[in-house]
Amino acid sequence: MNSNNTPRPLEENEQLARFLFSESEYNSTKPKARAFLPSPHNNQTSVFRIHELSEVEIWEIGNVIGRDRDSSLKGRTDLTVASVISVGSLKVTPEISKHILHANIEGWPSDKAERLSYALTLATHAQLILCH
Amino acid sequence: MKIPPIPGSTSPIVTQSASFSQLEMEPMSEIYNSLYSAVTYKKAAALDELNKAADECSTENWDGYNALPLTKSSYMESFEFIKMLPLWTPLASIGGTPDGEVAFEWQHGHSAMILTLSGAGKVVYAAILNGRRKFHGEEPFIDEIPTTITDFLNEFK
Repeated sequence: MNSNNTPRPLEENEQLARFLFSESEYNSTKPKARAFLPSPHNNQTSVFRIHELSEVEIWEIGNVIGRDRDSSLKGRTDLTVASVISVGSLKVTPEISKHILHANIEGWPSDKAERLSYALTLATHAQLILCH
Repeated sequence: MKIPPIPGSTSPIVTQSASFSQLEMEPMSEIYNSLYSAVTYKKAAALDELNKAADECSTENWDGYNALPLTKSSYMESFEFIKMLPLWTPLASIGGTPDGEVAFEWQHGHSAMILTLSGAGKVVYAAILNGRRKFHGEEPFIDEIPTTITDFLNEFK
């Protein structure tokens, strides 16, 4: 993080986490594609930059976000910036108005079937980590 | 069941015949019952999964990211979809999407498929087969499961 509170540039090998608050978005081993679909309000998928954070620090972010959203944290799904930007028009953009490590997956196509295809590809690249 | 003897006869033939018939029928009815149970179990399990998703996704922000609640039209269409699915179809994971639709997902090895129903009479889908071949599109869904969809589901048997 820079001293002037601007996010440091994204690197392709950086890990991102999508926190999961619904049990229907994963099974015992993998996240579901629907867990990556963008919000209908802004066409973005919210993620956090967890590069070089400890497990404790990562879960602490998830718990804080969950409390803010009145949702109980169930787990998270991790994937790299490289695996996101390799999917069609997707890109990752830092968005720090609510948290310094927050970012959005943007560039989702307007075609619904294509969005499903992108989400399915992200799910195949992602790793599931459940809360203990 | 005990067969009464024919009047004036003590021959055991009729009784033996009836007993044989019973022996034949009982295993058949067991097979029928277990087949019927398997069929109803699969449909019931899918409908249970749909109802569970409807419960979990019934309020706004069910995913912690301001998702819309599942719509009634998407639920009803999904109910019909499950009823029409071929009996050999593997069980899907069923849940909500952020825009209030129902999603069905299948995964097997390096193949995965997702389809969504909004209640608008169409199936929107995407599939990855064997980790390489990618497909996506939409098909009308009025009174039967589109052939494109059953063709893909064949890959998950």
